[in-house]
Amino acid sequence: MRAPIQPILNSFNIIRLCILPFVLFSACSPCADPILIDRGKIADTALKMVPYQNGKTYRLQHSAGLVISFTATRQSREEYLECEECCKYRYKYEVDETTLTPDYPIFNLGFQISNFDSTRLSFSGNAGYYNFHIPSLADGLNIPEFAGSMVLDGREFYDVYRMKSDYGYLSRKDTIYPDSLYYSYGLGIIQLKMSNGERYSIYE
Amino acid sequence: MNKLLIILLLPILVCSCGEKFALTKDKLTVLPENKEWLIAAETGSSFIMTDNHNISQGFSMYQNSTGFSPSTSSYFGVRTNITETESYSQGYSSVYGQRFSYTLTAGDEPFGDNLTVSLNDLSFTYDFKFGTISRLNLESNYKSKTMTDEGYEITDTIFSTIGLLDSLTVNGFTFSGVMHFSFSDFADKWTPLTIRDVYLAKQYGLVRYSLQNGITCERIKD
Repeated sequence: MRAPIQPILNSFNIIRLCILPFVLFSACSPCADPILIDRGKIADTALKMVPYQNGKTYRLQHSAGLVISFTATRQSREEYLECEECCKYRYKYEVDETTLTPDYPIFNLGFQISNFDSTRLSFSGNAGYYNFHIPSLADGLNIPEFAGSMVLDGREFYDVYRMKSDYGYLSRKDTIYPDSLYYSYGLGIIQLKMSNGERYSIYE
Repeated sequence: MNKLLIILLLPILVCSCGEKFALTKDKLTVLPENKEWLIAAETGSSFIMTDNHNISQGFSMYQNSTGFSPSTSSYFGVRTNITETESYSQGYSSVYGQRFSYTLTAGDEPFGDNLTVSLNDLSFTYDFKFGTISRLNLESNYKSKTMTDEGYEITDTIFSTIGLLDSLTVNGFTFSGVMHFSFSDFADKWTPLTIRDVYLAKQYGLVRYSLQNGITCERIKD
């Protein structure tokens, strides 16, 4: 004798099936507007960590002698941190970006300051694909190797930070890559050392 | 009679829906002597070039692939032919953002195998059989020779040239079998950084190039 068919289509279940989608849809209430948290503008004192000014030309000298001119473009812009799902907060912050474009076929140099994180300013530099974390004012999270002062062609530079590039963290493995950056807030790049010993040094 | 035709055609039509079915198949392969132009290196390997101001840059290979690409021809919805064409792709980039790549593709009669060389914004295609540049690009500027059943027809005059040298000595090392590309088109688009001359060696690839502003980069032998 055949077993009775499960009463899935009986009238009671049909009513339940009809009601269920409404219950499910009503559970997905639209997101409430997130609260905007405005980090405000980057303080002028922080912007001075990058001395390069928009439209001006700066020079670096390669260790073999060639002097290369770089034109600076600099601008600040607002950015927002959005999220895909319902979020309680939406963050507005400022990014200040500087690019040094050379008149010679080598890489661009760049600097970026951001106040996205309320506890510290984010400050980084890059030489082409390679990045350097530069210590920023009130930066208590990273302690890069501090060089103090350095002498270059008989001239002494003070308060110079020395940073290693992120070469070790990248999958890209160039034979010759930017290895170390010597940087001061007042003068910018003092020296950029390549892994093969070639150097780009400040030229004034 | 009609029924017989339908019976014969039906299996063909049905089978032609399969990706690999065709009445005939061809395979085009690159001639061994043209494969000599490929770079004998592996992904991740690198070479160094130094310019006339003694600034060095390393080029790293990011691509080295080969394969057969199918193309089909059909007649009244029936796939009549599949042609599989052999090609090789090799690509390098440098720490200073310079990009160099090769694409070597088997030729389809009447054309020969062709090698497309790209260096930054410049690229050209050389047909080994006809010994000619068939296509040329500088950024978005483009010239090509028209392909016909008999060969190329000149519609755009290409002023750039290719010469084949027995050897070239660069930084004390002699490379055998060298292709010299001299760029002479789109002169009104040139900038100081436009590439004017490219030298490519069998097995090694890029060995020298020079720019409009006089900068010359040369390979350092490992």
